[in-house]
Amino acid sequence: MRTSKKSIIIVFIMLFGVSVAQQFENGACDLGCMEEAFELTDPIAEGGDYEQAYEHFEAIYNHCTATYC
Amino acid sequence: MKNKHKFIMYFFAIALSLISCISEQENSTEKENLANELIEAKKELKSELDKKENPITTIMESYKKSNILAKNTNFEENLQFDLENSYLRMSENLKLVGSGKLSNDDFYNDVNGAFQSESGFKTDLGKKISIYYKEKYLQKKAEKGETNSYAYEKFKKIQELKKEIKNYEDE
Repeated sequence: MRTSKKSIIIVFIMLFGVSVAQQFENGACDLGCMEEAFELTDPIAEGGDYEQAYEHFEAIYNHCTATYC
Repeated sequence: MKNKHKFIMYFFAIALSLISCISEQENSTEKENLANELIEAKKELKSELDKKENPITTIMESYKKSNILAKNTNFEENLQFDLENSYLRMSENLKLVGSGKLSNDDFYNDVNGAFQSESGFKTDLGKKISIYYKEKYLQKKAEKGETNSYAYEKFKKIQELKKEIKNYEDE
Protein backbone atom coordinates (compact mmCIF):
# COMPACT_ATOMS: atom_id res chain seq x y z
CA MET A 1 0.00 0.00 0.00
CA ARG A 2 2.79 2.39 0.98
CA THR A 3 4.68 1.58 -2.24
CA SER A 4 1.62 2.22 -4.42
CA LYS A 5 0.89 5.53 -2.64
CA LYS A 6 4.47 6.62 -3.20
CA SER A 7 4.20 5.64 -6.87
CA ILE A 8 1.02 7.67 -7.27
CA ILE A 9 2.62 10.71 -5.64
CA ILE A 10 5.68 10.38 -7.86
CA VAL A 11 3.51 10.15 -10.97
CA PHE A 12 1.57 13.28 -9.98
CA ILE A 13 4.79 15.20 -9.31
CA MET A 14 6.11 14.16 -12.71
CA LEU A 15 2.93 15.22 -14.45
CA PHE A 16 3.00 18.55 -12.64
CA GLY A 17 6.64 19.02 -13.57
CA VAL A 18 5.97 18.29 -17.23
CA SER A 19 3.04 20.72 -17.20
CA VAL A 20 5.18 23.50 -15.68
CA ALA A 21 7.99 22.81 -18.13
CA GLN A 22 5.51 22.99 -21.01
CA GLN A 23 4.18 26.36 -19.80
CA PHE A 24 7.71 27.65 -19.45
CA GLU A 25 8.57 26.43 -22.93
CA ASN A 26 5.51 28.11 -24.46
CA GLY A 27 6.27 31.34 -22.62
CA ALA A 28 9.85 31.28 -23.80
CA CYS A 29 8.66 30.61 -27.37
CA ASP A 30 6.31 33.63 -27.28
CA LEU A 31 9.12 35.84 -25.98
CA GLY A 32 11.39 34.58 -28.74
CA CYS A 33 8.76 35.48 -31.31
CA MET A 34 8.41 38.92 -29.75
CA GLU A 35 12.14 39.59 -29.95
CA GLU A 36 12.23 38.44 -33.54
CA ALA A 37 9.27 40.69 -34.38
CA PHE A 38 11.09 43.66 -32.83
CA GLU A 39 14.25 42.85 -34.77
CA LEU A 40 12.32 42.90 -38.04
CA THR A 41 10.26 46.01 -37.35
CA ASP A 42 12.67 48.25 -35.41
CA PRO A 43 14.22 49.55 -38.67
CA ILE A 44 10.74 50.62 -39.79
CA ALA A 45 9.96 52.25 -36.43
CA GLU A 46 13.31 54.05 -36.47
CA GLY A 47 12.17 55.68 -39.70
CA GLY A 48 9.37 57.28 -37.65
CA ASP A 49 6.36 55.38 -39.00
CA TYR A 50 5.22 53.77 -35.74
CA GLU A 51 1.80 52.82 -37.06
CA GLN A 52 3.16 50.91 -40.00
CA ALA A 53 5.86 49.32 -37.84
CA TYR A 54 3.21 48.16 -35.38
CA GLU A 55 1.03 46.62 -38.10
CA HIS A 56 4.04 44.62 -39.30
CA PHE A 57 5.01 43.76 -35.72
CA GLU A 58 1.60 42.34 -34.88
CA ALA A 59 1.47 40.38 -38.14
CA ILE A 60 4.88 38.76 -37.76
CA TYR A 61 4.34 38.04 -34.06
CA ASN A 62 1.05 36.30 -34.78
CA HIS A 63 2.57 34.30 -37.62
CA CYS A 64 5.56 33.25 -35.52
CA THR A 65 3.49 32.12 -32.54
CA ALA A 66 1.01 30.27 -34.76
CA THR A 67 3.87 28.50 -36.54
CA TYR A 68 6.27 27.64 -33.74
CA CYS A 69 4.55 27.92 -30.36
CA MET B 1 54.21 76.57 -0.01
CA LYS B 2 55.08 73.79 -2.44
CA ASN B 3 53.40 71.24 -0.17
CA LYS B 4 50.34 73.48 0.04
CA HIS B 5 50.14 73.66 -3.78
CA LYS B 6 50.55 69.93 -4.03
CA PHE B 7 47.78 69.42 -1.48
CA ILE B 8 45.39 71.72 -3.39
CA MET B 9 46.16 69.92 -6.67
CA TYR B 10 45.56 66.49 -5.19
CA PHE B 11 42.38 67.76 -3.55
CA PHE B 12 40.99 69.01 -6.88
CA ALA B 13 42.00 65.84 -8.70
CA ILE B 14 40.22 63.66 -6.10
CA ALA B 15 37.18 65.96 -6.09
CA LEU B 16 36.91 65.81 -9.89
CA SER B 17 37.22 62.01 -9.86
CA LEU B 18 34.49 61.78 -7.23
CA ILE B 19 32.18 64.05 -9.19
CA SER B 20 32.77 62.03 -12.36
CA CYS B 21 32.14 58.80 -10.45
CA ILE B 22 28.87 60.07 -8.96
CA SER B 23 27.69 61.30 -12.35
CA GLU B 24 28.43 57.91 -13.92
CA GLN B 25 26.60 56.19 -11.08
CA GLU B 26 23.52 58.37 -11.69
CA ASN B 27 23.65 57.63 -15.42
CA SER B 28 23.95 53.92 -14.71
CA THR B 29 20.95 54.01 -12.36
CA GLU B 30 18.90 55.96 -14.89
CA LYS B 31 19.81 53.45 -17.62
CA GLU B 32 18.85 50.59 -15.32
CA ASN B 33 15.49 52.22 -14.64
CA LEU B 34 14.86 52.59 -18.36
CA ALA B 35 15.83 48.96 -18.96
CA ASN B 36 13.39 47.81 -16.26
CA GLU B 37 10.66 50.00 -17.72
CA LEU B 38 11.36 48.44 -21.12
CA ILE B 39 10.98 44.92 -19.72
CA GLU B 40 7.65 45.86 -18.08
CA ALA B 41 6.35 47.49 -21.26
CA LYS B 42 7.24 44.38 -23.30
CA LYS B 43 5.41 42.15 -20.79
CA GLU B 44 2.33 44.36 -21.04
CA LEU B 45 2.47 44.35 -24.83
CA LYS B 46 2.75 40.55 -24.91
CA SER B 47 -0.18 40.27 -22.50
CA GLU B 48 -2.33 42.48 -24.79
CA LEU B 49 -1.36 40.58 -27.95
CA ASP B 50 -2.10 37.21 -26.35
CA LYS B 51 -5.64 38.32 -25.45
CA LYS B 52 -6.55 38.66 -29.12
CA GLU B 53 -7.46 35.89 -31.52
CA ASN B 54 -4.55 34.85 -33.72
CA PRO B 55 -5.70 35.25 -37.35
CA ILE B 56 -3.06 32.84 -38.69
CA THR B 57 -4.30 30.08 -36.39
CA THR B 58 -7.88 30.84 -37.44
CA ILE B 59 -6.98 30.72 -41.15
CA MET B 60 -5.16 27.41 -40.69
CA GLU B 61 -8.01 25.80 -38.71
CA SER B 62 -10.54 26.99 -41.25
CA TYR B 63 -8.42 25.66 -44.12
CA LYS B 64 -8.06 22.29 -42.35
CA LYS B 65 -11.82 22.00 -41.90
CA SER B 66 -12.58 22.97 -45.50
CA ASN B 67 -10.13 20.34 -46.77
CA ILE B 68 -11.19 17.55 -44.45
CA LEU B 69 -12.15 15.26 -47.32
CA ALA B 70 -8.97 15.96 -49.28
CA LYS B 71 -6.71 14.92 -46.41
CA ASN B 72 -3.91 12.59 -47.29
CA THR B 73 -1.27 11.11 -45.03
CA ASN B 74 1.01 14.09 -45.48
CA PHE B 75 -1.66 16.80 -45.08
CA GLU B 76 -0.68 17.89 -41.56
CA GLU B 77 3.02 17.84 -42.46
CA ASN B 78 2.36 19.88 -45.61
CA LEU B 79 0.39 22.44 -43.59
CA GLN B 80 3.19 22.83 -41.07
CA PHE B 81 5.70 23.11 -43.91
CA ASP B 82 3.60 25.81 -45.55
CA LEU B 83 3.24 27.71 -42.25
CA GLU B 84 7.00 27.74 -41.80
CA ASN B 85 7.62 28.60 -45.46
CA SER B 86 5.12 31.45 -45.22
CA TYR B 87 6.73 32.81 -42.05
CA LEU B 88 10.27 32.66 -43.42
CA ARG B 89 9.30 34.33 -46.69
CA MET B 90 7.31 37.01 -44.86
CA SER B 91 10.30 37.72 -42.60
CA GLU B 92 12.60 38.07 -45.62
CA ASN B 93 10.18 40.50 -47.25
CA LEU B 94 9.94 42.52 -44.05
CA LYS B 95 13.72 42.86 -43.98
CA LEU B 96 13.47 44.35 -47.47
CA VAL B 97 10.79 46.79 -46.25
CA GLY B 98 13.02 47.74 -43.32
CA SER B 99 15.95 48.45 -45.60
CA GLY B 100 13.77 50.49 -47.98
CA LYS B 101 14.11 47.98 -50.84
CA LEU B 102 10.42 47.03 -50.84
CA SER B 103 7.47 49.38 -50.48
CA ASN B 104 4.56 48.66 -48.17
CA ASP B 105 2.22 48.37 -51.14
CA ASP B 106 4.44 45.75 -52.75
CA PHE B 107 4.86 43.92 -49.44
CA TYR B 108 1.14 43.64 -48.82
CA ASN B 109 0.45 42.71 -52.41
CA ASP B 110 1.82 39.25 -51.58
CA VAL B 111 3.36 39.11 -48.08
CA ASN B 112 4.86 35.64 -48.45
CA GLY B 113 5.23 35.37 -52.24
CA ALA B 114 2.57 32.62 -52.31
CA PHE B 115 1.35 33.76 -55.74
CA GLN B 116 4.77 33.51 -57.29
CA SER B 117 5.39 30.44 -59.43
CA GLU B 118 8.37 29.20 -57.42
CA SER B 119 6.95 29.81 -53.95
CA GLY B 120 7.46 26.19 -52.83
CA PHE B 121 4.09 25.96 -51.05
CA LYS B 122 2.48 22.52 -50.95
CA THR B 123 -1.07 23.63 -50.23
CA ASP B 124 -3.12 26.81 -50.73
CA LEU B 125 -2.55 27.90 -47.12
CA GLY B 126 0.11 30.39 -48.16
CA LYS B 127 -2.30 32.06 -50.57
CA LYS B 128 -5.01 32.26 -47.90
CA ILE B 129 -2.56 34.04 -45.58
CA SER B 130 -1.41 36.37 -48.35
CA ILE B 131 -4.99 37.28 -49.29
CA TYR B 132 -5.89 37.93 -45.64
CA TYR B 133 -3.11 40.48 -45.17
CA LYS B 134 -3.68 42.14 -48.52
CA GLU B 135 -7.39 42.65 -47.82
CA LYS B 136 -6.67 43.92 -44.31
CA TYR B 137 -4.15 46.43 -45.63
CA LEU B 138 -6.38 47.68 -48.44
CA GLN B 139 -9.33 48.03 -46.09
CA LYS B 140 -7.33 50.08 -43.62
CA LYS B 141 -5.94 52.21 -46.43
CA ALA B 142 -9.43 52.87 -47.80
CA GLU B 143 -10.81 53.76 -44.36
CA LYS B 144 -7.71 55.89 -43.60
CA GLY B 145 -8.09 54.54 -40.10
CA GLU B 146 -5.59 55.24 -37.37
CA THR B 147 -4.24 52.54 -35.13
CA ASN B 148 -5.74 53.07 -31.73
CA SER B 149 -5.18 50.36 -29.16
CA TYR B 150 -3.48 49.79 -25.82
CA ALA B 151 -1.07 47.39 -27.52
CA TYR B 152 -0.09 50.08 -30.02
CA GLU B 153 0.50 52.58 -27.21
CA LYS B 154 2.76 50.04 -25.50
CA PHE B 155 4.62 49.46 -28.76
CA LYS B 156 5.21 53.22 -29.15
CA LYS B 157 6.42 53.46 -25.56
CA ILE B 158 8.86 50.60 -26.17
CA GLN B 159 10.28 52.38 -29.21
CA GLU B 160 10.68 55.61 -27.21
CA LEU B 161 12.43 53.76 -24.37
CA LYS B 162 14.77 52.04 -26.84
CA LYS B 163 15.69 55.47 -28.22
CA GLU B 164 16.42 56.83 -24.76
CA ILE B 165 18.56 53.82 -23.85
CA LYS B 166 20.45 54.18 -27.11
CA ASN B 167 21.12 57.85 -26.30
CA TYR B 168 22.67 56.83 -22.97
CA GLU B 169 24.82 54.26 -24.71
CA ASP B 170 26.01 56.81 -27.27
CA GLU B 171 27.07 59.32 -24.55
